[in-house]
Amino acid sequence: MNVLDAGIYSRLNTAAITNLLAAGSLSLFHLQAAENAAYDYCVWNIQGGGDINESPHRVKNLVVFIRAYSASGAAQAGSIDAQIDTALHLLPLTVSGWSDLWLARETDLELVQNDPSGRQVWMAGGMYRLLLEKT
Amino acid sequence: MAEFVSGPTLVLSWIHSGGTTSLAGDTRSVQWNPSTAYAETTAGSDTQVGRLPTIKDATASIECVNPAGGTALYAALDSQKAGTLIIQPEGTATNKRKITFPCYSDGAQYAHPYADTATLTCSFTGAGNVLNNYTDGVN
Repeated sequence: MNVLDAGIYSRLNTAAITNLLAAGSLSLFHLQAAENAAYDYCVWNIQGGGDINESPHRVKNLVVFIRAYSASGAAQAGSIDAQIDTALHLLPLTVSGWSDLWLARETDLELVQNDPSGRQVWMAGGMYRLLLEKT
Repeated sequence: MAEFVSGPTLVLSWIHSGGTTSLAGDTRSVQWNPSTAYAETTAGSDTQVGRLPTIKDATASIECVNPAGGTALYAALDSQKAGTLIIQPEGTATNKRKITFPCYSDGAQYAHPYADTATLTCSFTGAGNVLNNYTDGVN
């Protein structure tokens, strides 16, 4: 959903988040970070869900995975994630052509991985439940 | 004969003293429950209970999503409201099924969960010749 991606990008593109990232708003990525993107950055994607088809109203029930990656430490990834949480949890999202019914964080996730050079990269993020109704 | 899914074609209307309320746009499900009473005719050396059907009855119930600001709907489905429920599972095309049910609203019951769509359920109870008998026919 391009309109959803635009809405998420717009919401994440706030100074409280972008000031913590390597390249400001250029460090917000859909699906995958750009090759050789500098840490720290954010990535989001639709993790699952879709139309619920329970009534004539068109309603999407989606889970969106939004997370921060940091090479400087778990705490920094957690700080970015906290700002993402502040920007999203229970705050209606503006999505063109759709009305927000519900947006809330459901599942917290964190992990550490090693990039090809052996450097540790920490991730912190969450799954957000999003209900959208077609307007 | 092909099967059908009623959702896309269902037409559901509640005609009452305040006007006609179209419910189909918010409906999740509709149940139509005709029934009959019986007189027992068991006698003598019968080995099974004998019955004869006597008088018919019917109820219906609906589940809808709860529209924001739906105050007119709340009034229309208030308890004891008399009206006629029209159920057209396959729409309004000629020769498709049409149930016409003069009845009373039992009163809509509302659910407002914290993290899900608000819904209402409402049952309807027939009153026979006080309002009128139901008919199960076609458009």
